[in-house]
Amino acid sequence: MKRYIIISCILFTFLLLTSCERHIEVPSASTPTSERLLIYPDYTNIVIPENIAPLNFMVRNSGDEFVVAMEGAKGSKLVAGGTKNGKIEIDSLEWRQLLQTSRNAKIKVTVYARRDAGWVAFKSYLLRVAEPIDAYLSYRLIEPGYELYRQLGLYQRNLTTFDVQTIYENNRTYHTGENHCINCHNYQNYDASTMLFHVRGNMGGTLFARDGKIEKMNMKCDSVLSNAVYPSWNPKHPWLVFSSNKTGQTFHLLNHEKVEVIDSASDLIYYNTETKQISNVLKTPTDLENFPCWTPTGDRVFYCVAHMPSFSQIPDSLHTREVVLNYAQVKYNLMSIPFDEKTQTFGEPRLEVDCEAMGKSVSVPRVSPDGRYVLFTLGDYGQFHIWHKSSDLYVKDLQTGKVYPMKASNSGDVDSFHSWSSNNRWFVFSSRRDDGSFTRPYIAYFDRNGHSHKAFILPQKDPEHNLLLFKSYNVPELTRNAVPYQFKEFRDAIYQQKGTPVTYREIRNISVGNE
Amino acid sequence: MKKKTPILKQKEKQKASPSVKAVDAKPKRALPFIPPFVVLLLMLWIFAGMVYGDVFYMAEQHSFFAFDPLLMKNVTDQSNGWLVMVGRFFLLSYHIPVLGGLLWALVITSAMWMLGYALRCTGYLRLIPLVLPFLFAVYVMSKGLNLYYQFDPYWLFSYPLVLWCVALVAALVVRLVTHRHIPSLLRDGFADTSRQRLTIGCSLLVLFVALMIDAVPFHVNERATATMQRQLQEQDWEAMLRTAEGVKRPGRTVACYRAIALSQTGQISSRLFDTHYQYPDLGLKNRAGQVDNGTEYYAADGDFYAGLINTSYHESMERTVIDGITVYRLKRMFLCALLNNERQLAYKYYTILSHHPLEGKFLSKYGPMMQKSDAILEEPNFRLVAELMPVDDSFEQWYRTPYFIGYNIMLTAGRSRRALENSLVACLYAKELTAFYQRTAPLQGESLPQSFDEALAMIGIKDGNSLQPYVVTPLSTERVRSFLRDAVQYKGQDRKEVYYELSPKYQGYYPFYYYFQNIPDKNYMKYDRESGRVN
Repeated sequence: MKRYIIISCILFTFLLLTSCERHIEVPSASTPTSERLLIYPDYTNIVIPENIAPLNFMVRNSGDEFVVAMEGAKGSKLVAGGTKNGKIEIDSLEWRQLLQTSRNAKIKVTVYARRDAGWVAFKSYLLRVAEPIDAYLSYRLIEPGYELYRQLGLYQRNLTTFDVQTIYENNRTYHTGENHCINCHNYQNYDASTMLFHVRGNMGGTLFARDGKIEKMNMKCDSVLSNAVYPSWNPKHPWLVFSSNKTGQTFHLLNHEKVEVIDSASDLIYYNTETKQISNVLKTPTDLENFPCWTPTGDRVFYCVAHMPSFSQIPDSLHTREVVLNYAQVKYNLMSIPFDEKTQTFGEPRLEVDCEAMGKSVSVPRVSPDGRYVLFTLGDYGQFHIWHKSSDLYVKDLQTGKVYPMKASNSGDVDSFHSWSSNNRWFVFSSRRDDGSFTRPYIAYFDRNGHSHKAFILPQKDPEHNLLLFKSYNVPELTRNAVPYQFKEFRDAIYQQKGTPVTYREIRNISVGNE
Repeated sequence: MKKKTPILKQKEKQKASPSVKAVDAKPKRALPFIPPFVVLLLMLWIFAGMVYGDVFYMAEQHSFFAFDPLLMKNVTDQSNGWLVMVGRFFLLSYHIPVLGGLLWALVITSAMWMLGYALRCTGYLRLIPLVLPFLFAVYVMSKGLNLYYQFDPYWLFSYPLVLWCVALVAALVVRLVTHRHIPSLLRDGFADTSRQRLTIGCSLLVLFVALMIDAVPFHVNERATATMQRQLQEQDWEAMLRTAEGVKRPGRTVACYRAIALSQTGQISSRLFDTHYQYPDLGLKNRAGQVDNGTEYYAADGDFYAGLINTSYHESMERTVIDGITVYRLKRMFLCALLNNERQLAYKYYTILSHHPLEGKFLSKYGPMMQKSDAILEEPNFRLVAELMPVDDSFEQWYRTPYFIGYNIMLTAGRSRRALENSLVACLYAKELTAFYQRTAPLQGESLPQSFDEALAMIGIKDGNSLQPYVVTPLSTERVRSFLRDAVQYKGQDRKEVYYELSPKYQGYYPFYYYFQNIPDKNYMKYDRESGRVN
């Protein structure tokens, strides 16, 4: 008798639990509506990687209940539902199966809303499933602040799931002796096991992680302009090119581009992590060099340069004022300089894109992994385009020399810092298109003809995440693998290592490989 | 079986012991029993809910709570995150100060009652749990505006709640172990003598009076600041001015909010200098423990109402970066975004605020303004703000302090007459007479506001500038001469001391302000972001 009672109890509990689970099915009868479907994020008619995490979204049209039906190739289907708040969370296993069966095909998505008069069906939209993207996206989370910083960190998101790994976070609670900033994380050739980032403020230095070891370096040296700033790894060797900048900020009173980040001086420097030697590559009094980027073959470095002839006529102390007064006239051109890996020397610079002639200014060149294209940001002036609403992504086809905008993926607001996927088919970039202030990573497909497609925001488990998060995604970088170093290892290196000083070595720039 | 109360026990003891009987042979008339914990509750409620209610309301506004884990992540990731969360949750009750004050008083009173029981406080020892809450209240007040400025005010509730939990556990343990009777809060559970009752009653009264003295005259700036900020949220300018009038020696914060109210009511040029300008030390500290003059407390509000919207947004964002999200800053940034016609950005702040349990009123008032471009300008108060916005873009660095009416001393072109007046007043406040004089051309031939008239008369005598195009009354010129004659007698003396001598005669007179008021305090010079000439 006892046994029957126990079994009955278990069955009752099971029934109770299963009855609580909402059963979602496509409405058997619905009326098509001409009302425009409003979903956030906008995932309509986009190309998606076959390995992307579920594209959860919120329906902003009215309705007491929502159902989303997805129909992929080979009869594969997925149904998801949402309540009055409109949040649609897709089952990740079903999503994975749908994407796998719909590889190189299209998925038709139909959204239904239940209203007083019954179910209505919105016009369907399509998702095209394309090649996979590099699985890991690392970024810095920081408020879109001005001068001050407090809590910030470097994180890595697995794009195939919603998992986030903390690479490094600074102190959570305010401490005058501990507060420090971290920035400019960068990887060698999409491999997260060789990386670096800078620490500024207390315990400052540059952390190089390579071959399982982390070393803090003090990159300051009397012979170079300032600290090492924007980095680029040589794809094959443990060598880097950095820009070295003297940076300042000024704040607009009326302009919606609230902050102007300006360089009053900048050079290019070269660093060999094995010999711990640093060298000037381009140290020019009237040129501002910035944002170096090595080509995948490692024989050339792209960079940006602004010519400031007035610098030769005024003392250094007035350079900042000069740039601030003429900030809208400062235009950077896209340049490249050859590199000879045998001698570790650089050749003569070459103009790649005369942006000034276009009335534009370039920033952040990134060469595609196949070496065919260089992707960069063009704005109306300056180089810190994350604050420039005019900034858009452009590409130069290095085979044809043609320069053209990434029309389909650009927006009316800031589109800037970008990173290629190692298979050339995707790039991730920073955009402020959502609200004009908080930067979010957008993913865009780059087809074999060299054209980009409509970009979509990094998917989140809670689709409201991007609205609620009070931080910007900064410097999105794609890698094939996860960062193999633990938070504690970085913390120990930052807190315990003093920072090995670099030594200076003069390199003789010679004319190599220059057409 | 009924438990024996201490009184019953004593009565039995009296029956059994003739000696005791003898002592009480002449029965004295006992004082009526007034339940001390109920009195304590009422006193704490009056303090927290009414006298200091606005300060605690602002503490709630300078905090943030939501049930969404993402919005609270910066809190929950901290080692004491749960304590902060609980404190912030209970702090929500101060959205209605009377309610918050009652809850706060209840938590503290009940904690003390349980503590008194656990510690077996009888006789005069019963004063211990009655005194402690007053000490805590004094400690709270000693923080001044630092209660929530630069610091998280969660502890206002968290500390009493922790104590409440500790007291509860202690009381339960004592009860389980000793089976001792738990005295009622309302009935006399002790055999107090009349003297003891009198002592406890008087002590409570004295403590309460002392608390009120500390709160009312000694923390008048804190209370007025919070009240004025609350009135600012309601855009009740007249109430702000009335509140400011109750402060004899206003601090920077009160001066700022008074200036905002004067600007919004069109009285800034006639009334700005009719108050005392020698800012008292409010004892503020920044997060690093350094002396802080408090400009960052009000800079975002001052800049907003001076039409410097980007600058107000900048200040709000900087404080948010350092302090974390607060309701007050989110609202300010939301309004900045609306005035800047950045409706998508406003929507972001609206969404975050919509997760706060108690900001529905604000959202229902301003939310509809996101639907239409510049809808916010249909509201007269914001239209006044828009009239003060600069005509041309420039950089903050080119502008100048003081913050309390924005820092538009360097304004070269305004979109309204009010913008010019504000700029002129800013020059006068900053004692920048040359800049003032250079901007007065549009006033030539006009009847001048009092402070302008006085300033121009002084410029005429002091610098010999021509006053011919201006309608400066001869009386004004003569009064300046008279003032200078009086002032010159004190040459070489400490100007702060001379102030008190001349104040009865010249308070509210611009030349008097120029020479004897708003003199920088050396303590602040090091940290001051403002001009060195004024405080």
